[in-house]
Parts: sequence; structure tokens; C-alpha cells
Amino acid sequence: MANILLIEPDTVLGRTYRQALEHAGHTVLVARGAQQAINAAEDLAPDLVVVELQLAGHNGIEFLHEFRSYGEWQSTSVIINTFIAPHLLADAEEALRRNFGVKAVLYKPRTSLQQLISAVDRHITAPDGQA
Amino acid sequence: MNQLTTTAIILNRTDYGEADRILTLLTPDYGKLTLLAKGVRRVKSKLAGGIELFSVSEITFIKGRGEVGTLVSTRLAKHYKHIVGDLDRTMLGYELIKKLHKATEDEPEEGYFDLLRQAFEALDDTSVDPRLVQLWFLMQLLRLGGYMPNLETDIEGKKLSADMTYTFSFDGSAFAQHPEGVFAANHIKFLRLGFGGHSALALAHVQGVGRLVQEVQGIVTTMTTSHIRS
Amino acid sequence: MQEDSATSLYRSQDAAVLLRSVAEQLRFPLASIARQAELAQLTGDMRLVDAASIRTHAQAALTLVDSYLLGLRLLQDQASLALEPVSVSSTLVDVAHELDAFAKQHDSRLRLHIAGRYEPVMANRAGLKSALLAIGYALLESYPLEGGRLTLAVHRTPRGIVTGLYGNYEQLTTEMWRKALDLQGRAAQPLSALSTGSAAGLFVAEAIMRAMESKLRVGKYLKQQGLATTLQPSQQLQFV
Repeated sequence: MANILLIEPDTVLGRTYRQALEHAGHTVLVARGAQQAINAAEDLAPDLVVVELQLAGHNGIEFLHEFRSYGEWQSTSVIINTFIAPHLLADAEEALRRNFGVKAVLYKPRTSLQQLISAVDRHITAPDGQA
Repeated sequence: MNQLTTTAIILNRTDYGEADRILTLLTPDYGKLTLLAKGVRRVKSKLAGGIELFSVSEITFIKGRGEVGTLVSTRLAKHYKHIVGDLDRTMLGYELIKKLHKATEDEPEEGYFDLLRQAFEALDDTSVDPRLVQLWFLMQLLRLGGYMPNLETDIEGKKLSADMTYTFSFDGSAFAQHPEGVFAANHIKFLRLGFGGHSALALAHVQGVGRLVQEVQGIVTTMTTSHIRS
Repeated sequence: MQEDSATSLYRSQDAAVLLRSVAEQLRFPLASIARQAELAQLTGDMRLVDAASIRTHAQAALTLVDSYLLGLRLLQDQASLALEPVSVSSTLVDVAHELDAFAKQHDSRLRLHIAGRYEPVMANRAGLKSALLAIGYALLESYPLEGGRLTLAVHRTPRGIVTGLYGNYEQLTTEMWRKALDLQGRAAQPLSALSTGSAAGLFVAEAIMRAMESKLRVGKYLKQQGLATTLQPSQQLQFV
């Protein structure tokens, strides 16, 4: 049972992901954009963040840059769940892992709800900051 | 108290206490500044405006007695929207900020603020290939750091010729004549433009720029690895 | 009259760019449908199957494909562009009716604003409706609207009869729209302030309007910003 911050711009997908993760026993807060997500993180104290990179306005990387600049969130696990195709993500994936401590990169069209839940369960940050 | 105003690009932010943040900014008039921004955590988050990634802001601050001043106010002057609309540009922009922050750990000379601002302008221009921006940026880092290659004479002191081909000697930071050398007049001209302080946007108009970028990349990145702190 | 090769190339490039845009955008409703269907299987609770949502998303995807195919045909075959007198008001009513379910799914409301009576315009009836629908679906999914109101409006200006869709899109400027047209098919988010995807619906609408020798432009109406097109009233026919 963990607090999950889900950053998902699509209303309906956000609802579906939330219901699936809640069914798996987690508490989920959905934010549609980067600004909302930073505010939500303060309320939720997330154990894990699932973030789409393609947001409107500020993108997922701006969110991660902001998020990681706060001491208490520097080791919070982050999973990317995105519509950006793997062949376009290519080099960026390594940079995302290196610069922002991203634990997993998932491609939405090919990631089932079960796979998302498994990835979340695998990477939840323990209270001591370890995944 | 004496309030000062300047433009700034943020390089880094860290927490300080319960409600404050320490910001490292690059400015044209005061070089690198470290400023305390009081009471600005989360609810008035930077993403709302003011100080953001890939932005230039107008700031007002008070110089501290020590190294840390106090930020009084900020106003967003320009946010480079097209950088954040593209993943490759975002990742590159982020890398450039990091690189410049590292390269200017000691007190930076003049020119670094303009370098970063021009890099943002070029990255924000969707007609300019990000790889050109990256190469151009590294050339400027080398130029500002005083590590330019010799683009006038070869390793033996002879004037570079339009009719010759060359290899590049990293030991001498100069070209060496070679009958099977891969570098020729067009490469040298391109490097002269890049190291001559022309903008990335100007370089983007050079004929065959895509191939030139690929072909001189090795020279520039190897020199950067050798000379620029990372 | 045969097209010259430059025009023909332009049209085929247009078609390829549009296709890429549409293909990228179709992943969104299809992923939504797939995950919603999976939710019921995952939880074993058929009550979680939101049949209405699956239906509206499937319909949105089908409409995008249909609008794209229509735009493609109009771009590639000018002879298929049959202009006729079209009532903009009744077209807007039809569009609002079709968008209603989708709007509710996205926690948004539609408002129809038809001030007065308008003479018919010369347009391709299917094209005009497709274009407005495509814009509607794209804007309803967009971030800035977020539970807000999308206004479908028609009004008269000295330039002609203007019809469009408007919402709280303060960031949408002419410059941004022009840039987006340039970036379509090249950037993952050509209109990143509004859309998290390729905004294909907007470009499909633009292609349809161009085939009708009109275009989309950024417009303001009742303090809202959006995309609109100007159509010329038919000189020959008027409603009595």
C-alpha cells in the first residue's frame, strides 16, 4: 500500500489508471499537469511518481527537474509512462535515468494495467528511501 | 538597502530550511549569483512563473555581506516554449545548463550568460538542428575557456591551404597535412565560423551543415573532454 | 486541368504529414479503450466497464479517421469538392449533438451560441461538419479546457460569417498556430501549450478548410479564444 502520484493529462486514462492502482491497494492522486503535480506532491508525500513526459504547457522533464530539487523527493521512485515511442526516446532514456533517477520507462500503447501495477510494486520507495 | 536589477537564467535550486530556497543564477552583469529566495516553496512554485527551466527572468536582489544575497522579486521575461515542446531539445537544453554550471564553477568570465541565452534561442528555433546547437555550444565553451584550436596555420606553422587535406592533431590542437586526411577547406571554414563567435543561427545557414556537424564533431567533443570541467 | 508536379508533390507531402499526425493521435483513444476494457478483466468487476466512455472514444477515433480520409480526398481530388448552400447554424447544432457525450467524458460543457439568423454559405457540407467535429474533439481533450466550457459559435463580421470553437485558451495566439502548422508531422507536440499529442484533429480541420479555399485562424469570441473560419454567404440563395 503506497501513495502514488500519477501525472496523466488525459482525464479518462487518468481515471482508468487510478482505478487499477487503487484496486492493487494503493492510494492514488492524479494531476493533469506539471504545476498541479508539484502542488499535489506536497499534499500526498508520494512513495512513487508515475509521469507522462508529454504534458501541456510544462513538460514532464520540467516537472522532474522541479521535483528533484526538493530534498525530501530526491530519492522518491519515478516511473515514466509515456506516449513517446521507444525509438524516439532512445538516448533520452539513459539521460532520464542518470539525471532524474528514473527507475523504469514504459510505453503506454504496449503497457497493460497489470504491467504498470507490477512496475509500480517493484519500484516503490521504502520508508528509508530505498526502492 | 541597495536593490539591484538584472536579467538572469537559473542554473540550480536547492532547499534551505522549511520555506526557503537557494538559487544559483547566471547574469550578464554580476556573473554567477547565489541568492536566498525566502518563503517560495511549492505553493508558489517556480513552475507558476518567474524562475523556470529554459527561461530568462528579470530579477531584483540585495547583495549579501557574504556570498549569498537575497532575491527580492522575479518576473518572467521569456520562456522558451519550443524547447519544452520537444523531448530532444529539452534533454539537450538540460545538459547544456548542467555543463555550463559545471564549467563555471569558478567565477565565470563575461560571455557565459550570452552563451546560454543564445543556446536557448537556437534550441527554441525549430528549424535549427539540436545537434548543431550542441556542437556550437561546445565550441563557445572552448572559446570562452581559451582553448581554441589553431585554425590559421598547420602543426608545422604553414598557412592552411584550400587545396590540401588534413588530419587533426589533438596534441598540438592543430591540423596536420595528410594526403588522405578527412578534413578540407569546408571543415576549416565551418570551424572558423563556429569558433569565431557567430551564432548557432548563422551556422545553421551554412550549406551542408548537417554533414559538417557530423564530421567535425569528433574534434570538438574530444577537445571539450580534455579541457572543460564536467 | 492537370496539376503541375510541384502542386502534386505539395499535396502528397501534405498527405504524408497529415497521416503521420493522425496515426500518432489515434494511439490516444485506442489506448484509452484498451485500458478501460482491461480494467474490468483485471478487477473482475464488470461494473467498472465504462461502456459509454469506450463508445465515445471509439467514435472519436472513427471520426478522426473519417475526417482525415475526407480531407485527403478533398486535397488530392479537387473535383470531389462539391460546394452547396449550407446552413452554418444547423451544422453547428449537429456538431454539438455529436460532441456532447465526449465533452461529458472529459468533464467539460458545451455551449452553443448562435446569435441571429444567417444566410447559407457555399461550402462542402460534409467537409464543414467534419472540420468542426475534428476541432471539437481536439479541443475537448486539451489541457487548458480542463472541466471548462467549449463554445460553438457563429456570428457575422464585415469579412463574412465566422464560425468556430472557443474556450479558455489564452495561450493560443496566431503566432503559436502558425508555428504549429509548420511543426505538424515533425514535432510530437506541435501545439504543446494546448495538446499533449499531435493535435491531428486541428490539422485535419485545417486541411479540409484549405480544400474549401478557406482556413482556420485564431479568433476571439465572448472573451474566449479558439479556432474559427470565415465563410462567404451564398449570393444566390437566402432563407426566407
